[in-house]
This record gives sequence, structure tokens and C-alpha cells, in this order.
Amino acid sequence: TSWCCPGTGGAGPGVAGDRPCPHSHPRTCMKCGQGTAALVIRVGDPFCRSCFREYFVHKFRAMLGKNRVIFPGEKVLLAVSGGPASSAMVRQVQEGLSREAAKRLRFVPGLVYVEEGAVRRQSPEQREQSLAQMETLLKATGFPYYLIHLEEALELPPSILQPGPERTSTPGPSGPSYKEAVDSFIQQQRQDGDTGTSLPGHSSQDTAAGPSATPRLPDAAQTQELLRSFEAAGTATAREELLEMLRTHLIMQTARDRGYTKVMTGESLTRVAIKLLTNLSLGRGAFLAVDTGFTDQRHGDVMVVRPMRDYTAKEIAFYNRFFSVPTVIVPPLFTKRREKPSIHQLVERFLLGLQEEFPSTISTVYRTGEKLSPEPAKASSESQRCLLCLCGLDTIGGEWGGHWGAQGDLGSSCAPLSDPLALTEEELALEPTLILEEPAAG
Amino acid sequence: LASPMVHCFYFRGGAELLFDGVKKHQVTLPCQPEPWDIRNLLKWIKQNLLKERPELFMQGESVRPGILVLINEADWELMGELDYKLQDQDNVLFISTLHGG
Repeated sequence: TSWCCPGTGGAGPGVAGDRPCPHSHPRTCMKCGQGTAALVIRVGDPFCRSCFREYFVHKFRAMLGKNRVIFPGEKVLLAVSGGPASSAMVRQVQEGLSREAAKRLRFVPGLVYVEEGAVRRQSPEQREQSLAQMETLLKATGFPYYLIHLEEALELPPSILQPGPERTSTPGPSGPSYKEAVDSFIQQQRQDGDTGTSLPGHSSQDTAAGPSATPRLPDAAQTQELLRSFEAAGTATAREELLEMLRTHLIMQTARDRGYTKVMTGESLTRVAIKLLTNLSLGRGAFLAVDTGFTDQRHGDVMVVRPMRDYTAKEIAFYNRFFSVPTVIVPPLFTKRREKPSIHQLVERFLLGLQEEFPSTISTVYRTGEKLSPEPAKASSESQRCLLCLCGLDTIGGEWGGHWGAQGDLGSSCAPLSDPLALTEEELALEPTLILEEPAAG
Repeated sequence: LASPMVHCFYFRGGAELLFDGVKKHQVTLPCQPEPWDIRNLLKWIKQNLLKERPELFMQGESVRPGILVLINEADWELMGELDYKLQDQDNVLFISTLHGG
């Protein structure tokens, strides 16, 4: 790269804060050396549109190929929010399925969308509109899709709070290796006369009540009850965590009901880095690997996979723009007047702000996270799992374990957590105490 | 003096929520002795187009971290960012990659 700048007395690359020379030059793509650069990736790598497209598409395939957790013919549920990352993810799956036989992705996708308008300050009309736009988007893929409302979380069975039994078809000493599975799948396809994607083109909405013409909103009483739960969460941070928990439970339930063994979620690299620091601040340090890693197996029968975690928010935004990936934007989670921002928002602001001066910030946080072991403390019995997030309790042992413990009844429908060791009755702090200053204006 | 210039500004990714939900604005910037670079443009946008909390769109003299700027469909990092001098018919697109608020 040459970042010459005649006016600055020969100051080259590496001027203040790692920024390139601010004077514009018509840049050439660093990959092909021919096309006009359309964007800068990472720190100062200009790419033209077509090299960028190759780079983007290749990264998805490499991510799945390297990790080898999705078996041929497996049913994979794509969790779609309408946002840029999950929409780009759907596009990559579509691209991957349509490729020529040798390099084609081989799983059977479905889509799930959780409509959250009740807690995003949308009027019923706005909710209907978002839902209609999302349905159009999902229908266009030709994959089976499921539209659910956040209100339905109020009706989830208690079984959602337990990991499901590990399936016998998962890889292991008893099942086929990945390579064997792929080979036998290809052979089977040849025998069957491979005619393209293995999915029958049915694009109707699959609901328990059968395909319906227009998606309906839940009744007002349910919406009120949901809002009450959210309002009862005392802080913006707790509210964000509650939303994510309910959404995850709904997606898991959908996967279980419909026989999906994998769920793909669209967390980007940027989002993973933010989540890493946020979760550390929330006291979830023991579970960073499972909360942000490529695979998340806490639910037992359904594995969560995060194939977008290697893409920055910028790469995704540019890809969607250049290649017309449709998205549906909804307003953010509601906040109360004069409420302090959530830890999530603070960390986002912190990381993105630091990134401006030091463009390696986010990738450094991400790469540090990559070094975390994916094997958190295994729960040897059900009583040693957190009821809400299904991770093994980290309240026993270690330097701090003896000082913190959570005990007590969690309600009549749940068994109280029994504790084999004698721990104190101190309650686990739910929220660190922060001293915040009002953000400066402008 | 710079002659009057017509431009289109687009707001996406949630950025439009700060501009009355309007995604496209076509404007003619007034003549003025100072050059119309992105720096001055942002000042103008803040004064004339921004309907809601300015700190959600701008920080100091630049856009808030997390907001991408494309000039004629190219990354502004390739064009000199705030120093880029606007030309007639240039399009500027702002995409927010932020999550809540």
C-alpha cells in the first residue's frame, strides 16, 4: 500500500492513531490490482466490489467447512431478525445451496422470525406492517418459515428450561464421522438422481393452526402481560437480557417442535466483541465461550451455530448494500424516560468509540475471545444448571465460589435448586453497581 | 463561489429514524464561500435535517462511531472522509450499524 501524501512532509502510514492519509486517491483493489476499490476492509485493505463478494461468500463456506458441525441433510433453523447480519446470513445460505454440486451446502434450511413489536414501542398497525414485510422477505426464499410473537413466550412449557436429550445422530463414537456422512450423502444423491436443491419448494407458513393468509397479532391481554414482565425488569440492562432469553427460548422451542437439530444465529464479529465485554460485566465470565463461540451446545438436542461471527458490521452493511440484500428495520427495545443506558449500549458505545482511534480494537477483543475454551464447567446433574441460561453453575469452588451462592425457591412450578455443599445464603448480585456520568452532548 | 449543487442523501439501517423516518432527501445546498466538504455538510445536516437527538447521529464534527458513510456508493475512507469536497449530483448515504438507541 502506498499512502503518500505530498503535503505532509513525507508522513507515511502510521500517522496518529493508525489512520491512513486523509487525502483521497483513486484506489485500486489490493486483491486483483485492477478494479476500482469500493470499500476498505480491516485496517486499510481496499477491495473492489467483485473481489469483496468473493471474499464474503468464501468466508461463509470456509467457516462451515472448517468447523464441520453441520451434517448433510440436517435440518437447520435460521433465526432471522430482519436486521443486516441475519439477512446476510440467509443470503449466504441461499448462495451456498445453489452452487454447483461439488461445493454445494448440503443442509435443509428453515427460517424463524420472532416478532417483538410489543416491546419495541410499535403500534398494532406498525407491527402488522413489519410482519407483512418480513413475511414477504421469508416467502421469497422458498424455505419453510415460522412467524412467532414474543407474547408466545408466556406460554412456553417448563421443559424449555432443561436441555433436551442428546440425539443419537450427533457425531461421536457411535455416529458416522463428518467425512463418512458427506460421502454417503453424495452417493445417495447420485442414486436418487440429484436434481438440485433437496428441498421441495414449499413456501407456506408452517404454523400449528395451518397456513394462514395474514399473520395475526396476539390479543391485547397477552401483550399487556408481556409488557408487565418487561416493565418489571428494573433496568435497561435487565430488560435486554430478558428479551434475549425469551427470544432464545422461543427459537429453541420452534426448533424442537419442528425437528430441527441446529439453529443458526446472525451475531456479527462486532456484536460478538460487544457481547464478550457486556457478558463479562454481567458476571458471565465463565460462559463467554458458549455465549459467543461458533457452537453452543447447552441445549443438548439443538446446537446453536454462529456462522456470521467472523464478519464485521461494516462488511455486512456494505455487502447488503452492494448486493441488494433486503432487511426490515424495527425500532429498538423501549426504554423509560431518563433511564440510564444499558450495559449493552455502554459497551457498544465504548468499543465503537475506541475503534475510531484504534481500528484494531474490535478484532483484538474478538480474537482474545477466540482463545476461550468451549468447555465450560459441565453440570453433572440438573440441579447444577442455571434454570434460565442452562449453563453449569459457576457458584461453587475457586477463589470466589465460596463467597457467592444462589439459593431459594424460584416459584411453585420449578424445583428449588438444591445445593450439595453448604454455601452461604447471600444472593448472587444481579447487577454490578455502576457510577455513570451523563454523556456529553454532541 | 461554488455554484448551487444538488445532492441526494440517504439514511438506512435505522439512521432514517432520526430523520422523521424519511430515507431519501434531495437537497440543493446554498452557495457559500466555504467549500462544501463532508465536514460542512454534516454541520448543515445537523442544522437543517436532523429532527431528533443529534448525539445519535453525530459526535464532534464527524458522524457517531457505528455510522457508515458512502459517497456515490463507495466507502468514504477511500475519498478522504471529512475532507472530501462535494461535487454536483454526488449522493451521500449514511448507514447505521448500531443496535439500540
